[in-house]
Amino acid sequence: MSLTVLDSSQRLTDVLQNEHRKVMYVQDSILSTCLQVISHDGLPTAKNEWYKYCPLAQLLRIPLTELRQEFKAPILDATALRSDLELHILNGILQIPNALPEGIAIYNFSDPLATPLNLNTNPSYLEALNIAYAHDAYQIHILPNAPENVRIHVRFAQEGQSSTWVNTRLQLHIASGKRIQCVEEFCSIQGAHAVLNYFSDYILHNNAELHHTIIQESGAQGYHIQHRNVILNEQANYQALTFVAGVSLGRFDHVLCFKGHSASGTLRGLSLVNPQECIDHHTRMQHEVAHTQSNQMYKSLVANKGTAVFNGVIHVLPHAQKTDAYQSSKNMLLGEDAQCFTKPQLEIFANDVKCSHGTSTGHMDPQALFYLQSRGIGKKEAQRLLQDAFALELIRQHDATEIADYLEHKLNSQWLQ
Amino acid sequence: MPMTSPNPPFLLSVNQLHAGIEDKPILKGIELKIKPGEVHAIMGPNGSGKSTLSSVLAGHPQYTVTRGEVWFNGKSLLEMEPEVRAREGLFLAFQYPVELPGVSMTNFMKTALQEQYLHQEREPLNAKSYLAYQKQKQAEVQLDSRLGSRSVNEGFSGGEKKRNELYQMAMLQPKLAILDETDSGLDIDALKIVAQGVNALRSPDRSFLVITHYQRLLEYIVPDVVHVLYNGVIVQSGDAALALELEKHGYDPIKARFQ
Ligand SMILES: Nc1ncnc2c1ncn2[C@@H]1O[C@H](COP(=O)(O)OP(=O)(O)O)[C@@H](O)[C@H]1O
Ligand SMILES: [Mg+2]
Repeated sequence: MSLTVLDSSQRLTDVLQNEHRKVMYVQDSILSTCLQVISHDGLPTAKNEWYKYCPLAQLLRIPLTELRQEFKAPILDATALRSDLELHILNGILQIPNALPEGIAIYNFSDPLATPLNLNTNPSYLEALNIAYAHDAYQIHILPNAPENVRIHVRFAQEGQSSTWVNTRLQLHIASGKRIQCVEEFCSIQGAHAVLNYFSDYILHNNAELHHTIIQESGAQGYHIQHRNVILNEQANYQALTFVAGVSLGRFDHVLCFKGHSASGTLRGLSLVNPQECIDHHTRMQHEVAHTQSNQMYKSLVANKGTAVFNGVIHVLPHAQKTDAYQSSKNMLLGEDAQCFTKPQLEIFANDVKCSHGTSTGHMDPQALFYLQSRGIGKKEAQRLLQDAFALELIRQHDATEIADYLEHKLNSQWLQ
Repeated sequence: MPMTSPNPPFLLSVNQLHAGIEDKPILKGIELKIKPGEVHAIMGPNGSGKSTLSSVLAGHPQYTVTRGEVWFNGKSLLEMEPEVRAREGLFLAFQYPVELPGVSMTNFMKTALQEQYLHQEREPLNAKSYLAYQKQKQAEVQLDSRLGSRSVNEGFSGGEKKRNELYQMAMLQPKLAILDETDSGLDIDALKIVAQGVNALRSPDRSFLVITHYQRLLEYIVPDVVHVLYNGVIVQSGDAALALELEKHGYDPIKARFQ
């Protein structure tokens, strides 16, 4: 007997409901909206244009168990990456650090000092789940008295002998003129099958700068839904690199809202897609005011039977004149049955703008391969060199050499052996 | 089929080689024999199959050999993968070298040399002696050392690409170097550097197959034998004087005779 999507979605909410850790941190009105969306919508299917290539239905087939509190939180090994503040979010719960650097504050959303969550539009099914069944939700504030160039490293891990579903949220507020570096790293734990449904917001006040690196380690058998929403005020600058080195199913939404003039943002994405995996990037550049700039470069290396998706919307509102927006997506297919779907979407309602996009998808260049072989380099090694070159382009553009080296090491040790 | 060459005095022995692309025959019975230490030149009008011959010898998978055999240093060449041919000492300087963005020159040449040394069961170079070797070879072919730290051929000028081919040849020290129109598009100074590079590498156990459209290069690299390739066959062979004759009369008499 096959269940309808709604029936199985109901089963999912039943499981989530039974968990005894639940945090109500939003106003009642938002909560009831979320519950309505949940009971009405169900998990999006392939019929939904926005999730056409993203087989979320897989999530309903995995037998879920409750994530009980006594579940042992995984212990993370020391990392090679240096930082001023290392935070661990294990099974959706933040391990409160002993001390915080000056000028940094962390609150639960339910803390009276926290900025309440605001939803401008109705939440999607996934966001509604995230809010209504949150394990917890946190805010990090970078205050005006924080030191310069603070480096924050947030490491996420899910324990899971059995399958679990983790809903968690993070919000980062950066005060005017502050520049910070933030790495969010999703670690793979042996045998973990967790579904992570993660939403995060980044609020950059005037002149704030965020250098953001998102690392999805390889070997994760998990399912990742990650939704990032970035608000850029006047002259704010946001730079992100999302490095995905393998996950059963990964859906990464990245939304940038340009709300202040001269704000600028760059998104880079590098996906290494293994066989049977699907990595789906959806981006939206929302240019709301004049003189803002966005840049996107996404690349994926897709193994045979892997699927890469890139859907990028550039939305320019009528008043957002002099918008400068560029988008590119390049894919290297490594087998006959490697798949790739790219869709640039330009929605431009202003007349004095510069918007363009480019996309290319293809197999490895046979002339390049032959050139290397003709110098005595074996075919496998030649392919490795060309994949490496393809992937390293984005990594080398990272402005923090230490992080670039860290990623290059991961690339070589986890993908291009 | 015997696994060793019946003609040991030849470094390269091409017998009745037929090859083409898809259903189109291009090489139609090539005969070519090169002894160690000899310099042979192949001349011929555009489209006669010069680049095809060099690609087939180097093992480009795009071409299919329909008939014939090739012996290289006593081994059957056509059965080897392209990389094995290279490690055995065959080198092709491409007419159109490809750009490899993101592949650094150093990484490229280091890997190539490592694989060659491994194949020849030689002790690999350590980092320090590799750098010294690289520096020496760059100087030999007058390759700007800044190019040596860039991506392979990326953004190189035409002349720089050709010089880079020579540099790779000097690094790999092949037994047989095939130069496919390495002179085309070069001014006289660059041409002299190419010739110097080749002449510096001439030795009793190294042979060259110099493919050229013009006689000009052969004033600086004096060949032992000159062949004329036309329509997929070698129609005429002679000594260096043949090149001068071709220069004087052009290819029209050849075309008329072998049409
Ligand atoms: N990749 C190819 N596809 C189709 N035809 C080719 C290809 N390579 C060579 N040819 C054809 O083979 C013939 C010989 O070409 P080529 O070997 O490049 O000649 P040359 O180097 O003497 O100018 C020409 O007619 C050319 O059009
Ligand atoms: Mg040619």
